[in-house]
Amino acid sequence: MGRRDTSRREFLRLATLAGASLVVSVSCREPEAAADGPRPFTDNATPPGWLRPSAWLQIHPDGSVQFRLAKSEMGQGIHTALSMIVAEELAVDLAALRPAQASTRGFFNRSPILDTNGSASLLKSWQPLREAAAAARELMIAAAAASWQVPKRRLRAAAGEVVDEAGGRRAGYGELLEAASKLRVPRSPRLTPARDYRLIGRPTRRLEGPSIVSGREPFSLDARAPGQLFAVVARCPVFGGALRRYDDRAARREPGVRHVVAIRSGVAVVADSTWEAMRGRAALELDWSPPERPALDSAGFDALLDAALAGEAVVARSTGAIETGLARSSRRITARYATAFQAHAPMEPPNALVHRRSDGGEVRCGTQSPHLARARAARLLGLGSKPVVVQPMRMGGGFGRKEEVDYVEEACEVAVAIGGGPVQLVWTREDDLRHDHYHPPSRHRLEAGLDERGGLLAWSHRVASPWSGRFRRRTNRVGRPEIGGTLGAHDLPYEVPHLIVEHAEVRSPFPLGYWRGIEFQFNVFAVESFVDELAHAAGADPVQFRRRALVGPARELERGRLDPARLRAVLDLAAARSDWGSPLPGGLGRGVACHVFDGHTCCALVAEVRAGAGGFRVERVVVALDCGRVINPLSLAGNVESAVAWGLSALSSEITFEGGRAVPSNFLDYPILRLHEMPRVEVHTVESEEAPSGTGEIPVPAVAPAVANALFAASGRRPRSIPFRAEDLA
Amino acid sequence: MSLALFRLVVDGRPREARAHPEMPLLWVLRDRLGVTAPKYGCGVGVCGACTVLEGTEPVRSCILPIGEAAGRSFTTLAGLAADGSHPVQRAWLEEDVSQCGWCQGGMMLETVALLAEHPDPTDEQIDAALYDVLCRCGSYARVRKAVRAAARMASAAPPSPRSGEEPA
Repeated sequence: MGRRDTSRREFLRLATLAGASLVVSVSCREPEAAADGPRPFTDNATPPGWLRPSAWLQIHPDGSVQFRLAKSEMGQGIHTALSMIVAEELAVDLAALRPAQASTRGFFNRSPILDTNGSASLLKSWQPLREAAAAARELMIAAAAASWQVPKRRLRAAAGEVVDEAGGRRAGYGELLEAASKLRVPRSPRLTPARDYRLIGRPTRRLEGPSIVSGREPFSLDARAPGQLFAVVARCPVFGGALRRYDDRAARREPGVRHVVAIRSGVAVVADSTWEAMRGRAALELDWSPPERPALDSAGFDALLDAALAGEAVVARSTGAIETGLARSSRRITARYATAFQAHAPMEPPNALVHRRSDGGEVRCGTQSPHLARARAARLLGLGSKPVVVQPMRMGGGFGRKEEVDYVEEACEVAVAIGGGPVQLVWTREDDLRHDHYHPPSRHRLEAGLDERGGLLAWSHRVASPWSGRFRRRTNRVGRPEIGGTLGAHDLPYEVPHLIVEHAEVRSPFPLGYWRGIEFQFNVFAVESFVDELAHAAGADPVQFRRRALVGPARELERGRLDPARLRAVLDLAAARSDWGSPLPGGLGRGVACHVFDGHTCCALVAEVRAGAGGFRVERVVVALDCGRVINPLSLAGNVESAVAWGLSALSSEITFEGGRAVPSNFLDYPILRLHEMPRVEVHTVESEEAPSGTGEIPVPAVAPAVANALFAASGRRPRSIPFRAEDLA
Repeated sequence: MSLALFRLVVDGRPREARAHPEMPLLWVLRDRLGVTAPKYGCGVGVCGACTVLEGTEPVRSCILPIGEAAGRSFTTLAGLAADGSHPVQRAWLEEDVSQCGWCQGGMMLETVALLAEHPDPTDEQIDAALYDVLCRCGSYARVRKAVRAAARMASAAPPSPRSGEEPA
């Protein structure tokens, strides 16, 4: 049997470990992984029959339950949500659960389940976690039934005990371990029906709150190891340049500096403290060779984007005959949109602590990609078959930046160069903004045709942009054109008889990466702004115009599914809760935008904006979501507030380049939203029995178009670029 | 260049560290003394993550050289109340403010300072006090609510909320 078969088989295993702890492990059945088939792991040490096994739960004789958290926490509340799911199905109190972040050690050393991305943590964890916890609960019931010689149906589990009401008996899970160890784990456990939920769906405060507010929560940069040193790296300020030579004599004379070593990305200075390393770095004399191609600045790259919009493009999706559709239209409207490079700027910049010992390697760092980090660390640390473990740490923000593992690689290279460490490599804010994996910019040319009744007849959208991520090319596994660059464009939710969506790729000399909202951010901005233009051209209400086009059957997408009716319901909810159509005082305007994110969550957003001389203020944002079953409404609302802030920040920030180097260096020239700019945010969800889907980045793409549309409603001026330009607001 | 010995009080404890006099207090705390509650965010005093209190005065520890900080007494978030009983801590839990949590020390200590000066602050006073504490997660709406809750709690004394529980 090949790995493909075992990967699809539910894998249940019961083992008794030393220390009389019962370990129940269940394979992670990721819907997406099953569709993908096996992924190309470079390591082949997975034992037969153990593809992606994982062990979430460990029940101790004292009745406490250890729960391995297989997702990284960066503020999105996933640790609390996963704990709620497990406590629910296992029939224990939330307080009885002892959750701990899983490392890449043991059961979790191969499975991509540890990766945290795509706003897909709940979607992927929901079923396997419930099954794991329910299997453990049923096992406890079976153990009690065997001990007491009563039928299982007479027993129930609650608050960490099996209860026999008729017999007047009860036993804690800890007391049942020995009996349970002689039984097989139920293969298809009965899942708790939703009507019996005690925890799921209830607003629950984040579990790590007390630790955060007392300053005790250990973040990645707070990791400490005895004798550790601190490192910063001088990197070539011009992308594509290389180190020619350097003089470290002055740097080595700085107090606290222990080592100066050249690594692939530049020159690392290692010292007794971060500041001493930074000071040593400032004393380096560095000679960089220029990149092979002439270094670009922003104007040069803008010209490439504009040229691409007029050049060759790949068809991402086409229906009907666009030329015929446009020719038959009674009105044709065209518009262009543009968006800029953006940075992630997590408040905690990238960092990693690495210790290379003779018997193995340890990496402690905030990361969204523990497996990739482990694989790269194993290669760089050169320890052969000795274990290399990545322990993911809490992140002070990730936003996609920490899907990249460049900082982990640097820390590993430095550790090797200085004899093993431990060494903590830290990026300063300047490093972070000037060497980010940026969110790519884009250009859009849209043309649409309306029929004589103002309905959508033809739609042409061409996007020019670079690819944002290293995995994007893999999505082209069915011989279809690449779709990454047109996410949010090719999956247009509206019914249009004649449609074409094209993508023109532009190569970026600047590093790119996934950024909260990915390509949806710019494509939905263009699409939903343009739809607003069409509605106004048709003399229609923007909500009604969208409703009329949100018809037709649900479509399967490359990933996920697009159901226009589901999005229409969400749009209706947002319109109702925002009092859409009711009069507003002068100077205020309302704007709407909606989209389906990556074939799962449906989102509609209404912004109320006050337009003033030379500026604007977003006063109220109403967000409606259909994200399946809501696990924790409190963290869901937090994620939505956060996504709104993220979307608003991008309206006034931009990474520009001069001579091949990024210009902004800190929060003074890369401004992010401040407290006084935060609008009132109201969150509404559709009642749903579906599996929970994402919320973390979902509202981001709808923010800019809703605000732009509201500005147009308030002032008659329409921003067609992100960031908004002063002339759009004048 | 030789290092000098500096003495200061951190969260009520006398501490000493050997450092270059220009080394900012933040790095003395974090890398020399292992006090990691103050966070690094910008290094130039514009984001607030490194905030500590001197009395009720907020100080940006990333731009205060240890040579100037020596002999003074500072409170970090960890020194506010170890059991989480300070009104600002209770309010922060009540409103479930924190997302990633990196900036929250700055938010909370600035709030302590604000409430010391204005026990019942207006929106404008909150805006001004927290203008330069940056939160990339956008926890701002809950911060505002929590500042108000803290103001209420400071004048009353309701029981402390706990995590994992449903808000009232």
